[in-house]
Amino acid sequence: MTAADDRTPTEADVCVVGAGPAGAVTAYSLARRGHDVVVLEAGERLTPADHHRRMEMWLRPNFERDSFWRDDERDRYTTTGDVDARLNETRVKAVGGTSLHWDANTPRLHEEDFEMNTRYGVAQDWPISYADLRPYYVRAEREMGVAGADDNPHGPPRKEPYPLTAFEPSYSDSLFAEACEELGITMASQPKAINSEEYDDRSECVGYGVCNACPSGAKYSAEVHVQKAEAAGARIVDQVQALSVEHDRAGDYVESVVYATPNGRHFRQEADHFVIACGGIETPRVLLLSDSDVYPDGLANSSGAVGRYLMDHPSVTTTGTLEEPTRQSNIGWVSSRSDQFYAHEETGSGSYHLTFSNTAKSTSGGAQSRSPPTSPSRLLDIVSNPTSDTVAELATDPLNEMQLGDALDLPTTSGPPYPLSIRGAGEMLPRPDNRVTLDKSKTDNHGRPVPSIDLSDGAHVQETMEHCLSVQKSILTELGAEITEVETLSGRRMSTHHMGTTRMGTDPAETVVNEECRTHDLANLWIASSSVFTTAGANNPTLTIAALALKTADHIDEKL
Amino acid sequence: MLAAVVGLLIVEIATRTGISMAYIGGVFVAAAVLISPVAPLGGVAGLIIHDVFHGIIGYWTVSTTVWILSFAWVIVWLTNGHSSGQKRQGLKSMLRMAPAYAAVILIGGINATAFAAWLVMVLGAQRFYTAAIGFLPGVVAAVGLSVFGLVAIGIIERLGKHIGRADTRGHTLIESEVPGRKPSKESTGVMAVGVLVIGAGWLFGVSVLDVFVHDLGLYPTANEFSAFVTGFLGRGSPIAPVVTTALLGVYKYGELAVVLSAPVAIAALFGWHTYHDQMLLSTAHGIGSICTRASDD
Amino acid sequence: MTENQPGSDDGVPSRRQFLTALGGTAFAAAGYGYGTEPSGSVAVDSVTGSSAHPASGEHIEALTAIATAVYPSAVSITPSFIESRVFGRVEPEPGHFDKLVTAIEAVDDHAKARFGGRITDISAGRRRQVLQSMGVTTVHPTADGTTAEQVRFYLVGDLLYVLFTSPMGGKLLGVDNPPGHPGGREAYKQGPEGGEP
Repeated sequence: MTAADDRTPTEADVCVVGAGPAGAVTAYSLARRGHDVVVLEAGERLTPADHHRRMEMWLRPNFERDSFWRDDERDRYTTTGDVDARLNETRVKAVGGTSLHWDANTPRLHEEDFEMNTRYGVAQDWPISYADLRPYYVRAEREMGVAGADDNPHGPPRKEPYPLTAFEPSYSDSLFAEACEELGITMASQPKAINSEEYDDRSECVGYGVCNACPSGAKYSAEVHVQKAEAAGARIVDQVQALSVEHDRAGDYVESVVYATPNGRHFRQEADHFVIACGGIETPRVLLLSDSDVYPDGLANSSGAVGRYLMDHPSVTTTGTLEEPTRQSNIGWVSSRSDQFYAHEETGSGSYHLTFSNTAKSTSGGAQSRSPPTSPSRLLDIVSNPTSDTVAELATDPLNEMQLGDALDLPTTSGPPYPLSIRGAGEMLPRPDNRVTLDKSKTDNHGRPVPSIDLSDGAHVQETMEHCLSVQKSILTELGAEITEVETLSGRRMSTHHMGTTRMGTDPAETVVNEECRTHDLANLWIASSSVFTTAGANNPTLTIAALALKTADHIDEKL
Repeated sequence: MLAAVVGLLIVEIATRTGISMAYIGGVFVAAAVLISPVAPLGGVAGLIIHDVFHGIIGYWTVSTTVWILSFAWVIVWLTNGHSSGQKRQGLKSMLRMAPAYAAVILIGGINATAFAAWLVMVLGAQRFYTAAIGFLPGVVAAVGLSVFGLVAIGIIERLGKHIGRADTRGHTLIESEVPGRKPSKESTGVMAVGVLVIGAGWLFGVSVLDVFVHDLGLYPTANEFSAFVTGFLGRGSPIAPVVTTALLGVYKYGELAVVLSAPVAIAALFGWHTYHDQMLLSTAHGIGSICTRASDD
Repeated sequence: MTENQPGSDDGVPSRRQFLTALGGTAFAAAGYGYGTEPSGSVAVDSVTGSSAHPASGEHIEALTAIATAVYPSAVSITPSFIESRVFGRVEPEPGHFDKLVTAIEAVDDHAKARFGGRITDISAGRRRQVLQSMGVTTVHPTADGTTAEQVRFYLVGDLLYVLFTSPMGGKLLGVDNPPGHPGGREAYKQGPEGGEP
């Protein structure tokens, strides 16, 4: 039996549940200061070769992209709102968490995101300001290795340089730049946790172009901090599911986390402090599952806010084509963005940011795909929208035979028209009815109720994203592009960012954690997750998650 | 023996020129009609010898053999027992007989194709529908060649009569077993129609079902498929639950239905063969009570 | 630590262990360097080190011959391309290469049986007919399906994957550095004439 196979509890100062960016950064930050840290992770560890496998699974239409970590019984959920939660496509349960397939975009939140109520009279202010978090942003950027340039006139203020130089803009960025300049829209480089040069013993980006399953290690994933934490003495126990969090008789302190091993044995991990770092869905779920006589509505839920105020980042995309080459899909990441429309004053509604595509051409598809014969969706398409062409095609080639040789069905064509697209992701305000609850009618592999996600867009989201679509259209029109596809909010699915479900605030009657990310109810229970976000802003949350994790670790360190 | 050698030669030439074995099978079946009911045995023997000799016995050997033999057998079956010792009666008669033969060969081809496609599928080689598509050109070839042959024979007979030469040809299906002749012309016709309906239902019904089963496999779980259907139909429509249930039935049990299609179809064929007279009588009785006049004749 | 029972949790193979049962152990010591050199050159081999694959020279020749039928004629390939790209990559799932070899043999046998010679001995057009007559061109690629579906999944799928992730395939798509190919960070900056914008 190797140490990694031993899943029995050990002495610990701090027990962290979850080995994603929040858990890994917290664990490392504490372990390097000499504290005994145990990290419990439901998923498994991946090897370097696994990342090559994942790349192939990501690129080939017929492989299951999430087969490395998905466990259908363990990961069950219910989705009831207008927005399909599609949880198992977006979150990753594995050592490294969802950072195993993130895009590594690391903008900071803006100053106004922390004071939405004071500035705009909506939502609530965070109990901390941008200035409070700013030094932690600097540390987080160094920890993750963020490449960027201080070239964003609409971005949050910064003094310290990025640890790595920004990636240069793409050719298509230069096309967008001309149109944006005409319209008075400023573009900026997209900060990202991908190595533009060797950093932290990791390779620079070599252009695999498959960022979601980066096999080179140039993209940061929380595996980096898992390994650093282990090197600093932390213990990572994989494939163990935290079942509940147990407190003392009075309900003042957490005493242990009960977890299950793969062979079904249950153990109790004790510690002085506990950090729940399970993301925006499983964090509230494990608290709700840990109800007790003292906390009948769920642990640390005196406020009733656990699970409420769920937010994501709704997005819309407009795609168009040009007659001149747009040079798409020669790199996997976005190189340019615009924060022109982040301030409410600009839009008259909510915040959003724009990103300009480098990957508007899909190279996985064509003859590689399933759907040669009369797939149900093809038939239904033809039946619901019969044109003479589609009907003739069905009649002459009902089985949609794959062509080989010179007639090979390519995923995309080399010639004109050339595609390009603009994506916009926007702000959703916290609303109590958007929430994670327990679905008692459906249970997971341990017989526990599964999370039920109820998320719907409100008028604020609608107005914000309509503004975004109009700006996208004006940029593409200015470019002389023919608009070919508009992805609106209609039928949208939940984004990869799950925030707000154990929100931060000063009032214990309204919020779950305080400004240190410690629960109001229990003195040694901390939460490191996007679930503590009071508001979501319109920017990718991971850098803020890491910054808050570093801050939380400092507060825990003060207590130890 | 001679037939086997000829068969071997034909198969060898076909493989070297890339001619589909379905066409060659069609030739062997046409030979059953035009030359001798045992002609396909020679062809099949040639095919097996070819594959054994080249060391490439595979599902293709088994299924093609079964297809040819069952094809010829259905034709013999449908034409058997009605031999009237009728001699060929020249071009006019041949032209009259050709459609009947074409129909019988088509019926044989449809049933044999369904059976062979099912076998290919059970052997794990291909989907039912792709195997069926592979054999169907052979049915067309068998029908076409036979009709062409019948007409050609008619012309030769006519010419032969004119120049007074005696017929020295062997015993063929044409001279021994003419379909659709008395004493039970109606019964035989009904019998054939029944076999056609069962075979066509089997072949085309299961092909379509198999395409659907295959495509529904795109959805890894019944829940995901159900979500797709619900998403398309919506929840409000009154027919939605019915359609959803039907499609889910196909999703869950379609594969099994395709596998069970052969035993069910074969049982139906034999049932029809054995009981069609009784069924016909009861049906005719029913129809008779409704119709006052069946015919103006 | 109330239920601190000694003992191992082994005997329950994990899903990932199952996914990587073959080949995974070779990388245990690789750390998180992922095996890619920072130089920007093709570095797959340094992480794969896969000298042990189940394909013989005949299999690779046969697969190369099939590739000439599957790929457009503008693509010229060699057995070494097939060996390094197909069998030299990290095996995506345990048993994948064995299934691929089985698929190659199925196609070759069918060619011998019904097209008068080994797949390497017949023309590209005839090779396409072999795949068609096996029912490969009208089915979904399905890993556990019929022989035809497996040929589509393992054989045709692998050929297309290595094509579209290589610069040669990229030319067909108008992408100089297609996803899956570590071709560095120049192509995305270049304009249509090959220069900087």
